[in-house]
Amino acid sequence: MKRIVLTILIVLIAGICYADDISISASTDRQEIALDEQITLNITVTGSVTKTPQLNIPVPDGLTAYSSGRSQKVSIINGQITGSVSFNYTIVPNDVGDYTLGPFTIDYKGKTYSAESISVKVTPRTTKQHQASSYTYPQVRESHKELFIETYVDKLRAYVNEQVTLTFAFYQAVNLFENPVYKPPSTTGFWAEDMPPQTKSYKVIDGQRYLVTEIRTALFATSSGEFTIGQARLEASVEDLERFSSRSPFDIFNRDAFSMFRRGKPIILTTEPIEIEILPLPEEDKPLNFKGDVGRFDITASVDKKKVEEGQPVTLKIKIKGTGNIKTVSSPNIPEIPDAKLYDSGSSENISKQDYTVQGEKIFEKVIIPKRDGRFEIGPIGYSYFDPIAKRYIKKNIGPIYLDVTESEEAPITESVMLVPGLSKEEVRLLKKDIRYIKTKTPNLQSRHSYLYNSMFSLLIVILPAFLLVFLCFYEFHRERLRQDIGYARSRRAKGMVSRRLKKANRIMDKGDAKIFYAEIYKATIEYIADKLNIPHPSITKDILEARLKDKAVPPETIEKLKSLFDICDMARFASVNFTKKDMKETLEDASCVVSELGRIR
Amino acid sequence: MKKASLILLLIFFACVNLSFAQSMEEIYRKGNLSYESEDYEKAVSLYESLLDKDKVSAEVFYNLGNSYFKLKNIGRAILNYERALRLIPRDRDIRLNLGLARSMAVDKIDVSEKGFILNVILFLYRRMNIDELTMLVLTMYLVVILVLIFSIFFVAKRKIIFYNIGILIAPLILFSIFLISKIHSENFVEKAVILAEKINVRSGPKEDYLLQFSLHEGTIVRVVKERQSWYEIDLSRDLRGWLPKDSVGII
Repeated sequence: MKRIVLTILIVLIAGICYADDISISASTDRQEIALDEQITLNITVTGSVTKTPQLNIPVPDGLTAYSSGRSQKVSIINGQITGSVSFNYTIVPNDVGDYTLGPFTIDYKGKTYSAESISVKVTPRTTKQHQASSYTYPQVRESHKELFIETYVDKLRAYVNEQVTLTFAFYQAVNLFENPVYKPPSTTGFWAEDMPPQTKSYKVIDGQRYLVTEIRTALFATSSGEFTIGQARLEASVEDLERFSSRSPFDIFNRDAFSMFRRGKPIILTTEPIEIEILPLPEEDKPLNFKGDVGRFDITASVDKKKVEEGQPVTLKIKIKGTGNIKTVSSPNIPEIPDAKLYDSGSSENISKQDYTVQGEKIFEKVIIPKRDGRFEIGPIGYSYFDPIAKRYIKKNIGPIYLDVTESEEAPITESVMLVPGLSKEEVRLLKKDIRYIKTKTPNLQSRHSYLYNSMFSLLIVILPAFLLVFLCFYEFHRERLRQDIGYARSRRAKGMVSRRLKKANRIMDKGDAKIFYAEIYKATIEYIADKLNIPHPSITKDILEARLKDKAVPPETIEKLKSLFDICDMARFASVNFTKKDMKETLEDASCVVSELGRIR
Repeated sequence: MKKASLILLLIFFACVNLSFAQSMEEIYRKGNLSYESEDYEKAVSLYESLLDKDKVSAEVFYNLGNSYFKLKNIGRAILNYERALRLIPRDRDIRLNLGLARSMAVDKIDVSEKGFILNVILFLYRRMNIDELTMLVLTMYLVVILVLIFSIFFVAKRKIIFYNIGILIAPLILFSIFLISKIHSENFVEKAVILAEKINVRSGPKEDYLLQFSLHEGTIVRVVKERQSWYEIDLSRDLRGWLPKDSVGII
């Protein structure tokens, strides 16, 4: 584990150090080729390549490059990474001429490296056989080919909308490495119809036995003029026999055991384009009801019943059968039938491709609903087509079909319930479903934007109980404290007590009893302070009081006032000094003043 | 005792709205008579005159919708049924007629399927109008407050109450959310019904802007913006565009 980490580290460092030594080279297997041959281009990038670089290959017009894979090699020697990536391309010429491939460049880490360009000469094809291109193995340069393809048509001159059969044939004398990729030729200007199945047969050409695979397509020209069927292409991959040139007796085992490692050699085959002349349909003798059908057709018509009641639908079937482009066949015109309604109810087609000719039948269905009783005449229905073999227009008429309509026993059916194919009965009933009746109850009129949620009422409903809850919370909190905290209870009680006592003193003062008056004043004040500060009564002395009041940061003037008040009280209680009512009143005022000042203590 | 008096107060407030003018009743009756004699155009004008002032009534909206339906004016029928349904969302007649009218609209807008539980919850949401939801939320709120007051005076039960108050608060929150979203969707998000038979929705508020898509009578859209005589509407996440104001009716 450690070793791996170390290796990766070294690799990374090395990668950073030697990232710049890159070279690029390009080579081809040859420089002069015929039009039906191909070149293998190899571009190799060597150096400390850790990531696949971006490769640019400029390919001139007239050549086509197909990637045929790439291989990558990385070696680490003494911590140095050297790698090489080789890209393989197959170059196929499309035209004769001198071309220059390259210069080839790569962009790697912001730098551009380039390789020299290669010039290629394309000469006209040496052998022209069957409009086909071929591939021969390099080591078996003999006259016959092992793989080739060709395309051909059954006629080079056709009318518009006449069938032209295009056949693509693939001749193969060796085993393929994997399924070939077939790119059909472009058939612009044609309506193409595939004609399966592919056929496989064996053919012997020049003593070589080939497996021939044929794919056919029916083409119908849509307009007149000169048209070109483009190149067909086949990408195949054959076994690379060069790798097994030195055969040993054990090779057969090797080949099977390592068959999964076998490498295919890509080959691209192309065909020549084919030119076809499409003739316009002759203008002379063109029937009026001609709608462009080319081929050979037969027309028949029938009704599903000859006798119906008035208002009942009858189905008319027109069948066109024959060879030609059945899909484009359109419905023949039906002359108007008085007192009857005619509906199109679709068409169906049945196409077969027997003997590689598009043929079959198309059936048009019409629904006729007679509106009166009596005899109806449908038709005659005219139809015409162009026969490309006889090179003339052919007109056909099918004689009138008669329909006997009897009087309906029921009342004539109304339009909306009429049974039209494609519209089932249930749907008709659904459409007839009616709405519920209006409301006759006296209406409840309310103003447009008055809602309960933004009325005063709901605001109160929300706010009042919330206030009540908060108030009750505080109230309960206070009661709880009175119950549990004696100091709090005493201090809350003190104010009431002292005002009661001072009132009592006031009454005594009116009686003129000085001694009792001063005793009461003294008691009231001292108890008030004791309650306020939560000190037990008996332990109170003036000194303790002074010290405690100072602790509570009571202003010294107040303490002085209190002291003088106590002095006066003591004098009045214990010395026989006479105090007038005026003195008493003064003392009472002093006392209430001190009490109110002390009341600010917390 | 307190609770009982509160409920009485609520009932009283609900009853206050029941008062209406006599003449209105007369016009309404005339409208119904016209409807019965299949003079739907006259019925429409009578019902509309009832709603001219700042008054709304589910019954009048419903009858108006029926009259428009009979006149084959599907867009206006849907518009009035929708308005009626907002006022009395539990009325089956309105639901049925609205469904029928909608099925006759041309545009098919996909209604996404929701799960069972969501449907049950949404059922409660859809079947109550704003005032009913308000009443429910207020009642729940009062119950919570009463329980809290109770917990103040009964110290012994306080713990149990505090642990279980969530049972009361959760529905209160849920219904409050319902209420808020309902108020939002009915009073702050404008929905409109297409009244024109076919209307081209354009990429900007002018006739020369690019045609985005077209809508048909009866389709319900959301109004996003307005500019002069154009509305910007929103059909789904990727369908947005402008259409003239007179081609739609705001629900």
